[in-house]
Amino acid sequence: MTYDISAASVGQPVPGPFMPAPVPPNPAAAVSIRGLVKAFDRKVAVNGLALDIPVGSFYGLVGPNGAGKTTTLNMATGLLRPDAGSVMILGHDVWSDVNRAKREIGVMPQGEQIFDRLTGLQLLVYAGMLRGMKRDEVVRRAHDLLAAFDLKDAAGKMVVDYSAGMTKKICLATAMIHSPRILVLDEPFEAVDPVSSANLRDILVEYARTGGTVIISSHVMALVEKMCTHVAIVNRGQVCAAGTVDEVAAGGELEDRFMALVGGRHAAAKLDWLDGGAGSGPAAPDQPTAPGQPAVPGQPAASGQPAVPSQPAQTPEALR
Amino acid sequence: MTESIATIVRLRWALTFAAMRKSVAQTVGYVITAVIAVSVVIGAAIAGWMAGLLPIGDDAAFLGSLNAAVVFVGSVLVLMIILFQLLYLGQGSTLTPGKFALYGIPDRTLSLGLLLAGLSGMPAIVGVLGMMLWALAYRGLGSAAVIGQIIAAPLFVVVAMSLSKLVVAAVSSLVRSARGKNLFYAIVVLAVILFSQVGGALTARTAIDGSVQTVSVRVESLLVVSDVVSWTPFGAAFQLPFDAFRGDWGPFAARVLILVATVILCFMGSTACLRHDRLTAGMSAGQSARASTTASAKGLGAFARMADSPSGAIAARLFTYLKRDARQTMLFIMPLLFVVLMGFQSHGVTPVIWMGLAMGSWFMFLGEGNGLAYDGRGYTMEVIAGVSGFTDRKGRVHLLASLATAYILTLALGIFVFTGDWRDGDLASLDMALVGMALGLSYASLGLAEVLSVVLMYPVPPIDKPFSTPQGRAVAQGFFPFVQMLGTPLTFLPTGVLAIVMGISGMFESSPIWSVRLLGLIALANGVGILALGTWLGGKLLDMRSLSVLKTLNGFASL
Repeated sequence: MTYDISAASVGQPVPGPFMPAPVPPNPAAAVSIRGLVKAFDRKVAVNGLALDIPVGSFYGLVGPNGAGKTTTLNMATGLLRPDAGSVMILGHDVWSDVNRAKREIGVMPQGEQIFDRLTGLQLLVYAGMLRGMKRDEVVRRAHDLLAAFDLKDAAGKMVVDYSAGMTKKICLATAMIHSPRILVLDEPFEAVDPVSSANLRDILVEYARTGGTVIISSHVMALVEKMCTHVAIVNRGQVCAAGTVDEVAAGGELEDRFMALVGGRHAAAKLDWLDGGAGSGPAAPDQPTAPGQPAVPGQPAASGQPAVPSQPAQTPEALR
Repeated sequence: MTESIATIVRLRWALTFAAMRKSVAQTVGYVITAVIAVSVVIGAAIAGWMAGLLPIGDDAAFLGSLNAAVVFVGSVLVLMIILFQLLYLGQGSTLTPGKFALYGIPDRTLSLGLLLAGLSGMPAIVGVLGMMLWALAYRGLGSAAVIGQIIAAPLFVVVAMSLSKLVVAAVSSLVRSARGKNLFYAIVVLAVILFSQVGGALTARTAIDGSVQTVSVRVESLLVVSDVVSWTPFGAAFQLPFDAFRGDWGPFAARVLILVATVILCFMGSTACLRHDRLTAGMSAGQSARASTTASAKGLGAFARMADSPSGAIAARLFTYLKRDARQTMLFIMPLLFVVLMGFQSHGVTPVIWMGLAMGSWFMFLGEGNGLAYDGRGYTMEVIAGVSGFTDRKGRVHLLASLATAYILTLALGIFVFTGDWRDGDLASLDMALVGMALGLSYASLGLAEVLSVVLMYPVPPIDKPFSTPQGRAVAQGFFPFVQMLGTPLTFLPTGVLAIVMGISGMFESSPIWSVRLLGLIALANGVGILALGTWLGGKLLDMRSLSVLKTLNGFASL
């Protein structure tokens, strides 16, 4: 299912100045954004962004650093008031009744946005009870989530004692405890080990299969390509391209498409002084080493062989 | 080495100016600080000039008393500087050793750089100038005494700074566990308050003539004490001008040696702490946190006992945090402390102790007046969940009012038994009225706190570093609590008006016991009313300002 958005038709670069979106918000979409604008002082972070996220999709929001992904998600989830534009969640305008919208969604907090002096179990119970759930039900679900996220043994430990990956998992669990219809996750797999990551993916895919909508922001193209059904590429506060992953990739690799739309790649900069010590050391690999002399003091070198095998320099094209 | 040290000192001022550019409040704060600094220097000069007019050189007994007083007051001053540094300033947040961890600066160079950066600051400069100008006081004693004081001035500042840095570094390095921090914070607060009572301990009421009490200093005890402390790093600098005046060059040199040795030892100690921190810094956040936090908890804890509702969750979370947060220890100390202090001052007049209870209750919720800042970015969870402001306020008030009620009533029962007031019916009535007033004041203070904490927030140190200083805290922290402190009596205006009406109507004369009882009830009702109003208004304000509050808390976290 593809939605035609005026400012961001699939694969088309965004026109320069912001044009008001002529398409009205789509009440059938999980999230429908129109003409979203946010500026911090004089810097425009989000510039008339428009996007529709279908119900039941696994939606990836990708873009370079500072593209406006997190700002957009914050405005869509009622955590940041937009300067202009509208956000509709499941047919309801977010900013006319922000707490109602928040009850429909589950936003994953960052590690520093939780009360980390609570134990893992207490944090989940807190998150559930805050949303008006009954304690018995919250406790039951909390134990299920702890088991699903391999945190059962750490249930009684304070979250501050968790590793970065464990913290990420408990943050994700707090967003899921009330079984929201939409999950909004900012870099959910960062610092999570591959096994836990795979387990998390299974949970999220199953959730999307049952009709839930997952929105993730990520820098990892491979992950988005593998998991998401839909993707939007955001750059300079606007959507460059949006649609299913295949549509946006347009027959190529998603990463190549991303590079082409976002730009910014340039020839590898050569910094003369950044030589790994080769320029100053007496036995640098690019300096002639006398046969039989060790390239690194204390280490024998093969006669006549360079201490470090030389590699052909990669051109920017090769890197692409 | 010199270059690194100069860079650290330059960095200090660069950061100060950068903070001023970034925030108008900071600039205003610095201007106020500068005005105070100039006033202190001018004040020291005037005090020195005035003291110099006294014929101190002619009267040996008077000179001895002045000598003892100066040494004693100076020593207390050094101790207070250390304690206040620990309590209110701590390690600056910008120039912490941790910030330089990546650059491989040798410990000794870094330690020296941080010390000199501290000495180049405004308090140190003001200290040196003020103490030098105090030399005017000794002009009647001759040039030797004046020069002695001019030498003593920088020594005093360097010693006070070195001792403060050592104590702060040692505390930061060694007091790691959450429980240890709580305990230590409480001890420091008590020490500050006890030191402020030292003056009282050394004075004696020598005569009571009608209603007039004359107070004289116990000169003998002061002489002994100051003689001893003049040989310690705390008082040695203040003895130097007197040694110079008397020509006691041996003791003069010995004292200078003590001061220099103190600076060297403090420097070595600070460097050792720095090394200790650096060697343990390799631990991951989880590992260091493991060392600093208490053991794991089984089950739901407070979450199993509070109401099964969003406000119950907020109350349970707050209760769990109050037990684990050293910064909010004052909540539990305040009423007990006031009762004990007033107990010492009561001289058998038991209502004075009850007044202590009322005062403690009044000041009990000063921290809650900045409660959201103590929650920090954790408040985001409430915003994400769409919790209404009223639910938040209700949860907090429910818990804190229950704690205050239980605490004040228990304390009241203790005082009742301890003083034996229960034997006297009239006195018991008065006590009950004062208990009503104490409860009312604590409720009113809490109600006001629930409003103020939404609008007047100031940065607090992070929970894992209760002895650190976020930038810009000093000015706001000095001012904002006063709003609550002075605002609470204002909320008692209805009680005051009714008391005046009762006074005018002659109720106190006709039936004093019943009037007092009634006034206690009115105060209690007044407090409950303000609490309800504060909860409602605070909730409304929080609904309106929740995103601004979140932005402010994010701003505090980045300090």
